Parts: sequence; structure tokens; C-alpha cells
Amino acid sequence: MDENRERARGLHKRQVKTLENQVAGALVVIGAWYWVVVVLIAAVLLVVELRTGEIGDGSVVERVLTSSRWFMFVMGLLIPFALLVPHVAAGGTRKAFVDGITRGALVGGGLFGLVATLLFLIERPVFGALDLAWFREGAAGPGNGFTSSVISEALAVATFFLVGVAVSVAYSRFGGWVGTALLPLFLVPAGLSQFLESGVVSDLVAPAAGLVQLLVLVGASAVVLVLAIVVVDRLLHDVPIKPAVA
Amino acid sequence: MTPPFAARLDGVGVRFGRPKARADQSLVDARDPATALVDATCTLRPGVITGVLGRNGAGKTTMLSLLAAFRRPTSGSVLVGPEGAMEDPWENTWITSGVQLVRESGDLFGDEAVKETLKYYADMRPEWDADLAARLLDLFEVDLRKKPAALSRGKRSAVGAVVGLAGRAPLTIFDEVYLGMDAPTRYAFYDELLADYAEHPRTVLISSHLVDEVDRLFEDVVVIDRGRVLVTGPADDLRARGATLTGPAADVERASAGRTVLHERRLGPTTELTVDGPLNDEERAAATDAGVTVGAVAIQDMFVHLTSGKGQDR
Repeated sequence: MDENRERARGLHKRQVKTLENQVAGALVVIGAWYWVVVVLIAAVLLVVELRTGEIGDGSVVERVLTSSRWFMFVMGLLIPFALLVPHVAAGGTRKAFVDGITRGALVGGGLFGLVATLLFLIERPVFGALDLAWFREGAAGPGNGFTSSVISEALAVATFFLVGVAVSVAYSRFGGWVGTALLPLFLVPAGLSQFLESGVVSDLVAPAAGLVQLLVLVGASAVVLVLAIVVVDRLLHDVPIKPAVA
Repeated sequence: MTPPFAARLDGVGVRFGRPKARADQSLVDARDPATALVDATCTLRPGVITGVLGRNGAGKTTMLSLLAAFRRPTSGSVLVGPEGAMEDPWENTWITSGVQLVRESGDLFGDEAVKETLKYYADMRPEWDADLAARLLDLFEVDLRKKPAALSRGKRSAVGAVVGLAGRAPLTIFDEVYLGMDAPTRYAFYDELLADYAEHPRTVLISSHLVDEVDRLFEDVVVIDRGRVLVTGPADDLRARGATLTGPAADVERASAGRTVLHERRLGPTTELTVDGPLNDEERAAATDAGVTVGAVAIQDMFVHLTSGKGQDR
């Protein structure tokens, strides 16, 4: 029996890793196209700002980046449909699915955070060379640091991805009417994630020291991410696989 | 290598949707259209090929889904695993990793090339045989670069067959996996299944409507009718369970006296009756002496007669 339990642990790790690779791979491949589009739009906005001055001061990348959350939300909507049934058919458990999709979301989120931060790092000297004022409205204080920028962006993006997963599974399980009725509930983590980036929260933590601000914001973002994971886990832990349609 | 898995269903009921409260405290009711299985009880022996037979909507797919932990029963218990160490398969990594249910859809990644699905199964399945998969794909002429939507239904089914065979799961279940396959491909699949089963013994369940075509593979049979397990046991017992009596109507009537007639066919003065229950040597000799020809009943015919609900006592 102990041997079986030991083997089960190894198999669980194998299932989680396989799904994590699948999710992260999809996010990287499709995300690459997304980032190409983001860079192009940011470049167009910069040109418009230079010609007309109507876009306004500050980072143009930041304006475009709100879409990364919704991009991940949509990916979260699509991925359970594509992966859940083959995963269970291949002998995977729902628990391994939740763990794998969470780890895939964190890897994907981390890459998104890294790319977004690199874009900020590239944008800053470009603005300087063009004699434009560069600043980020949504990341005052500690949010401007490289590590904190990567982490906060990663946590927010991963949260939105998992919210998309929750919405998708909820509609699949409960149907259109109940799914829509429950929608506000599943969007709570996304709302909290956005709230943490608002001026209200920045003002609240402003009196604290820089490191404390960073820890509070990252900690709060991590709590919101855990909330999204719990929602996904509760929705998926007993989800039945529907009869196949050939 | 993991030994072949056995399985046991004990009083299993499945109702789709929420269970309704009933006066008799039961969770499922055969008259309820949302009920798929009612008090289903059977044991599936390890290391044998079992045919799971039933008419459309009888509950075969639901039963197979329970074994693969695709869903949970509303009532009763399901156990799967090596003989003597069976466990509830639900969210049980040790068990589910040893069960492969291949459904008619194949359960492939819809928007990716077939090779991506096979890579996923290979990564998930501890006993995956990549060489066998490659050989079977070649045999079934499946283009790995195509997406499932670009494949014919038969080719998609062939991919499912490859997943089932190359996975070498201790409990491998084929649920109407033949759909769309042409006859040569089906026969190639049956041959490959038998060859690999002989070389790598495991438990195989086959659900098929082409009973005549696959009954040579069956060692055991489970017949499900309207959500209930009607017959379970060795296929030879089912083959010997009934007999056909053919001859003059009066003699056939006499030979079938006291038996349940499953099917009756008349052609002029000649009558053919399919009766339930084997004839002993004396009965057989008496019938033959009376000019009645006694014949065997094929599994498909017995299945049809048993599930038609038209049996009459004589």
C-alpha cells in the first residue's frame, strides 16, 4: 500500500508537470503574438503622441498593458475546454489539473511580468531620448522597481487567468443562467487585483517604508491569487466529464 | 509493470443532475428519465477481455465513465485496481493513472496537431510505448501533422485506438472506438489488440454495437439493459445459455414446453424458436428424435433477444 502511495505521489508530480508545460507552452506561443501586437500599438501611440501630443504624458506601455490581464482572462476561458477532458482521459486527476494550471499560470504570469517590465525599461530611455516625461501612474513607489514590477504584474496576470478558468468552468457546469448569475462572484479576485493597483491602495500604504509597501502590496496580491486558486479548485474538484460528442 | 486491474460495481446508481428526494430514501429510480444506471452490480475479472453490450442509452458509457473516474455514482460503490487491492478510482492518482478510457470522440486536443495530443498522452502515461504508437499510426495511415478536425471520423477513431493500445494501461476501455473505421482498419485494430494483449496482459473492456464482429475476442460479457446489469459472466456461458429449436411447429412447441421463448420465427410449417436456458443431453436427444434441429445462439442474437423484452414463458 505504501508503495502505491509513493508511486501515486510520483505520478501526481508527473501529471502536474505535464499540464504545467502544456499551459505555459500555450501562453508563451500565443503570448508571443500578443506581445508583438502590444509593441506595435505602443509604438503607434508614441508616434501619435510625438505628432499631436494628445495621448498625454507618461508611459504608453502602461496604457496598453491593461489588456494583458484581459488577454490572460480570455486564455483562461479557453484552456479548460481544450485540456480538461484529454487530461482526465489520460489518467490525470482534477487535483493535478488545478495544480498544473496554477503552476502554468504562474510561469505564464512570470513571463508576462518579465516582458512587461523589460518593455518599461526599454521605454524609459526612449522617452528620455525623445525628451518626453516618463512615469507610471499605476505603480508609484515600490511598484517601479524591477523585481517588484515583475512580481506584481505576474501575480495580477496569473489571477486574471485563473478567474477566466473559473468563469469557463462555471458556465460549463451550471449552464448559461446560473453561470451568469454567479459571474460577479467569480470576478471578485479580478476586481480585488485591480483595486490593489488603484490610487486608494497607494495612498493607504504611502506612509510606510518602501520595503514594507512592497511586502504589503505583494502579499495582498498573493492573497488574491490564492483566492482565485481556491475558487478554481472548488469548481473543478468534483466536475464530471460530460459524455463525448464525436 | 502494474498488474492488470479488476473492477467491481456494487449497487451502483447514476442519475444525471441533482438527486431527488424519494419516499423510499433511494437516490435513483428506473422510471426517472435522468437515470442512467440502477442498482448495477458486477465484477470485471483482471486480465481478460470483457465485452460490454447494451442497446443505445442502456447505460454502457455511464458505467465505463465511472471506472475511469469521469464521474461519480449517485449511489453504490465503484472499486478498481489490482485484485485484492481495489480502491475507489475517484481522484485516486494511483488508480486513474492505470485506467485508459477511449471514447468515440478520441478526446484529442481539437486545435492542435495530432502529434501534440500523443505527446501529452505519452508524458502522462507511465507505460506508454512510443514505438508501438509510431507503428500503429503508420499502419492506420494517420497524418500526425493534421488537426483532428481535418481528419476523417475513421482516422480520428484510429488515433483513439492508438492511444488505447500504446498507453498499455492495466485497465484499457474502448467505448465504441470503431466508429467511422472501415472494415480493414477495424480488423487490423482487432488483430493488434489481440497481439498486444497476448504480449502485455491487461484488462480490456470493449463496448461495441458490432457484436458479431468482436465477440470472438470476448472472454467475459456484461449485458446492460435499461440501466441494469442483465447478464455478467464468461462469454461461453452466454453462448451456451440458449438454444434454437427448428422444425415442425408442433414438435418445436413440444420441445420448448416450460421454457422461456426469447424469439419466434415462422416460415410456412417450419418454426424456429430461440429459448432461454441450455438443453441437457436428454432434452437435446428427445428434440432431435422428434425431428427438431437444435442449434447454438450467437452472442449477438442472445443479446438482442435478452434486451428486446419480448420473452414469453411456455
